[in-house]
Amino acid sequence: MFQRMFRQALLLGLLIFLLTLISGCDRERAEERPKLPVLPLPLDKLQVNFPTGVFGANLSETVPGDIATVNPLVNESLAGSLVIGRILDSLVTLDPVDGAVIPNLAKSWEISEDSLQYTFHLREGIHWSDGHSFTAEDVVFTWQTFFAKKQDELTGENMMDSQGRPVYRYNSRSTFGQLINGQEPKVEMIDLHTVRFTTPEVYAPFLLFGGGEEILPKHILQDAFKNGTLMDQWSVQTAINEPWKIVGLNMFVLESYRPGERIVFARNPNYWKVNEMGERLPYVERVISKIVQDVNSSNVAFAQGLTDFESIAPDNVAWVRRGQKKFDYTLLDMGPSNSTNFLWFNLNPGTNSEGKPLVMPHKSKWFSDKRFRQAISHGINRKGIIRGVYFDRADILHGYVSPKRKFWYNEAIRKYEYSTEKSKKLFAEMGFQYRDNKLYDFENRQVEFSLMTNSNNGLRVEMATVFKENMADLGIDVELQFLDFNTIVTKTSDSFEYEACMLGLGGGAPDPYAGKDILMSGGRMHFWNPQQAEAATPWEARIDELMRQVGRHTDVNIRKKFFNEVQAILAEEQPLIFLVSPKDFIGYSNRWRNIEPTPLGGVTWNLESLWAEPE
Amino acid sequence: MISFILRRLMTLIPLLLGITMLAFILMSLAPGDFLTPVKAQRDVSVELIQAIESEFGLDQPWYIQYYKWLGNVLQGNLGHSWAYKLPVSELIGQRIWATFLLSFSSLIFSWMIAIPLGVLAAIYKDSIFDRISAGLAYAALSIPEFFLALILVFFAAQTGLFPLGGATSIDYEYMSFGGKLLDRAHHLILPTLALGIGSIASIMRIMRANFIDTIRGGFVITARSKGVRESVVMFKHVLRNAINPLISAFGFALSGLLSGALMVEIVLQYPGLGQLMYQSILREDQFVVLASVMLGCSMLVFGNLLADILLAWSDPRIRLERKN
Amino acid sequence: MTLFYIFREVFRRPLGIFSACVLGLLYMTAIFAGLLAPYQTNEQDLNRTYHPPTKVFWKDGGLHVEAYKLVDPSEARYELVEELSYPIELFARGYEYRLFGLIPLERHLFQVKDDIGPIYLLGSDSTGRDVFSRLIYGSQVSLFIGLIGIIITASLGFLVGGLSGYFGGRTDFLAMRLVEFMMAMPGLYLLLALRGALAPHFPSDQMFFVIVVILALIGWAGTARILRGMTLALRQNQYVMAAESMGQPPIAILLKHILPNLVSYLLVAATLSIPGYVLGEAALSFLGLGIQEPAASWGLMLSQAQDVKVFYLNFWWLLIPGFAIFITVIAYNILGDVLRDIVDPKMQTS
Repeated sequence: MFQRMFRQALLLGLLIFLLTLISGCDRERAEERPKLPVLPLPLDKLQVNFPTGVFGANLSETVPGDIATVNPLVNESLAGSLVIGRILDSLVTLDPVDGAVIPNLAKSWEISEDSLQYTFHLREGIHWSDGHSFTAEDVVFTWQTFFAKKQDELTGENMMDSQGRPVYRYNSRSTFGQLINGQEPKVEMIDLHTVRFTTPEVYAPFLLFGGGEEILPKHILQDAFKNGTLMDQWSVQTAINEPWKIVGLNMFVLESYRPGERIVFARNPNYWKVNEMGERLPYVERVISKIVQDVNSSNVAFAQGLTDFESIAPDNVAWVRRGQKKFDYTLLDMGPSNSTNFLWFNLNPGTNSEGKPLVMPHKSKWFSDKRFRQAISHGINRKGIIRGVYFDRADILHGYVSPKRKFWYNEAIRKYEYSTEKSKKLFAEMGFQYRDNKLYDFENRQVEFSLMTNSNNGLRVEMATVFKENMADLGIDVELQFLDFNTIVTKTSDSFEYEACMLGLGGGAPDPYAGKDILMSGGRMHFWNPQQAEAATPWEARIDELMRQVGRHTDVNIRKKFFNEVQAILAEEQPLIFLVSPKDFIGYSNRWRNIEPTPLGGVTWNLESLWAEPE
Repeated sequence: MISFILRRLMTLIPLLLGITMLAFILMSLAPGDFLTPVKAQRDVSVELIQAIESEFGLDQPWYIQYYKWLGNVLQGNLGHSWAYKLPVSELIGQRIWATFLLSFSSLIFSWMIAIPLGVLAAIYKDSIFDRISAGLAYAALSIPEFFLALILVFFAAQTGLFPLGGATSIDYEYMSFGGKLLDRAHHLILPTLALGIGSIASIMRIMRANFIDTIRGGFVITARSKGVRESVVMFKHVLRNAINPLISAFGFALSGLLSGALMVEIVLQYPGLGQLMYQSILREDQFVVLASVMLGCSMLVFGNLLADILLAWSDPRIRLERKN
Repeated sequence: MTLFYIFREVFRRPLGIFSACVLGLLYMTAIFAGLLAPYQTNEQDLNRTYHPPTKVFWKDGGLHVEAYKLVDPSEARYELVEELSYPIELFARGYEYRLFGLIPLERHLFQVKDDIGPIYLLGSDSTGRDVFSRLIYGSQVSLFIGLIGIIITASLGFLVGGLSGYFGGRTDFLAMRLVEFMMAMPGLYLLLALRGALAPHFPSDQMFFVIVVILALIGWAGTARILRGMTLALRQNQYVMAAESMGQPPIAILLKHILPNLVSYLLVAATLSIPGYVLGEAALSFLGLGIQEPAASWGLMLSQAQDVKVFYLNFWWLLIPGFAIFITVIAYNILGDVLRDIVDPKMQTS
């Protein structure tokens, strides 16, 4: 009897196993996916000049990290922006070669004499992916969602917060990001294809920041806007169950989404770019994006020939390069990247809730002396970091602007070469002394401090250990603290109880004014001493003034002059001690044609024109 | 029997209450919350952060948050994941079957290998084979799972025979049905090995001991003296009885199902529940952590209960009522 | 059954001798780390990252070590230089250290004469640190975390288990519910949550103690439960009753009359549960949540081996710390089994 039971149990087990396997495979639901109507080519179609190719290939790629939403008003993640950017489009875009603002959904624009009014002329005859016409109403609707006010249910009046500011109905990143010194820009529809923005004051980056907003479809979202559920729209559930409800103007629409596994995009049959023959682009039929944990696994997938395009981390280039022949791909060095790594000392003079100073007063004295910061900067072996940590695939970073941003980069700033003599000379100037190879300050206190950085970034952990050794050569004891990212942010932006910190920044908008929160003394990310009521030092006050000018002037050469001075002051004062900037590497499978990579646009800037023979 | 099961299930209630409260306290002790990383982005304003904080009730003390959460759970609502913006039940539902599949395949894998090996080691007791297999079992028991997983990744990278990470290939969706099955199986091999090898060793040792115990039993001597062929004795009489206690091991396997695969899932990047849990703790995605803790805990209790029931069922000498 | 008897029995069995010797060797290495390691844990050489292991050989009446040249820094590729080798000097002066944490010394078992070249017996890591030296210093953390942890666990388990077994009644009831509660929690999850809550409140050089405390907090329940059962049984003995009637305080009875009877059990249980601590520390550090750079521990060193470039560029020597963990765990498991055989083959351990 028992044998039979055992056999039954085994059979049952196998059955369950197979069922799970299959249920995992086949969870397709009965689709009621509407077929997208194909409308005639738009009047203002854009013809792109690449040799004609063949339609129908599928493209494989990886996305680092999962998405949490497809709603641009809610999205916080990089993966989310990448996905949304495939579907939605904006009035203007950036030239992949020189970084200038160029027409996109708007075919042209005018800026008034006083630099306050921006009039955009939209392309005529463009349709949303579901066949609905795209007009100025969509643009106005998009901006309405940013600035809609919350109203008191009883009186119907706009609600105000304790500081007399209006309470917004949908708090999105754009709501506060598009405010200009706390005031809203005005938007009005002139006719169906013309829309005009008026900024409350001269605001140079508006063309890029305002024109770069992704336009939402009014015909899809206006009901949700009215009944208050706008932020719940286009959620992951929509993406899973009804992906066709997410409608866009860019080259792809969402075909399917499986959390943690993959996102599939299908070609938008109503896209507004055409090839030389007047055929509607893009050539690609489908984009299959596999969701991976991190950059490393993404690089692995490419190196195994599984994906078509990839940006490769500098420390992975060595081994990815080896597969070029076997899997027939190309690896290109695109020069410097936008990423920066830096460290800073806590210059916050305040006290904590118990009245104790945030930084011990004698240490505060060292940190706030610019000669101390300069001496530290001279003491860092940046070349060694590049050689050891980055396998020779990074550049020394001298200042705030990465050399990638050629136009804004100021070559003439003060540079700090690796020289322990210069460091020691600066320390001597400050009255510091050496005893038993240890550094002591003018009050005979040993010089030591702690440096924190995030533990989940391997390269940064290595850089921090190199820094510790460099400082040991200067006779300074550094205590390293590797913390979770959350703890770091809590310390740098809430409690301010730390001595020094090492972090990095990547990307960011290409306008210098995008750095105002870091550079201006009142900024939330003015790392070394954030949200000052009034600039604490004359040089910070000067930077504040210069940045205001950078925001106010529309002539790029004048702006550049001001921004050059900002960079020079930062280099002299070293509130942020910059380390290195890794290089950008991209790889692409050789089966693709029309590839013309640029440092700014990468490989996929002309995705609509890329084609390959379909398998 | 039923009262016994009910009594055991009743103990779950204070347990779950205590554990979720502990989880809440621990998470409130950890600095920051799931919004903290957002603060580090340069184009997010203070106003937006404050607005979201009050929306989620993050600005309230932990006991008020806990009270609210408890109210929701009693109404069957496990809350939303902040990181994924999905209902927690749905999120866990997506991941749990991947972990289940992995645990199940490693269970089958280890049993299929361990039982024959254990039997052979018992039959050829004290032979070279027995000694070698005992030594290997020792080694397999002592090797940390994550190190084994790391070696397997190394192996896969060097040979290119197995995919690194994930549960399916990129073009999975466009494969034939058979192709899909094969693809999944291909991705399952390494995690199954990493998870299964340790349990092969322990099951093998139990099996060997049981088998040796049973061989000494009276009925074996009777059967042999009746002139039954030795192979029939071994496989019909002895094996059947020796495998009995192993049935309860199935229950224990169930209890460790969810937490057991954590390290392997992380190293091999297998998108299961363990990985979800780990990331949720790091991100402080509270409701996901709470739901997984509750699930893990319930599985532990259910698994142990099942083990007891199976044991009683397969061995009439054991009575549940007295045991507690 | 005295400790001496157990000790003698262990050395009568081949497996006992073997495992005791392996463990003895490991702990001696940890204790004499300063003497054995040619480099300090944090000594970097950014021009020699991912250096392959160098062989030692006999030439011209002395030990020599192979020399390598970096041929491609962008790939960390090194080539052996046939004609060159560096002589090794035994018991030479090097960096300063304190033996047993007390005696200042600067002699080392071996190092390259006049430091003209590197000696990387097990290669170097991502910042050019000697893996061999880090492995030796790392053993101090990885090996002693188990010993310290088990002392805390055993005392806690004895205290809770002993008291609740001795007093019974309400104390017993409450203590056992607490034990059940602890045992019903998924261990690794609790480990992660506790670490997340506790770690930020301590500086990173005290991480060692944070981890010990966390591991001990998770581990004591099983021991307590079994000790309670044993105390319950011992309590009925006449000599305990006699001591009680003589008015000795409970703590004294526990220590004088009950503990001696539990020692052999505690010894076996401790030996068998030390691997849990070694693995717990390794797992935490491996995830980047335990011991922090630039200190060394085996789990932390192994976390460097997670990097894809290590796999693809075949820096296999970074996996060695994993084998060290493996050897330690297997030695403890064997010793534990041998002890159990000696004390009581049918013993139930947690």
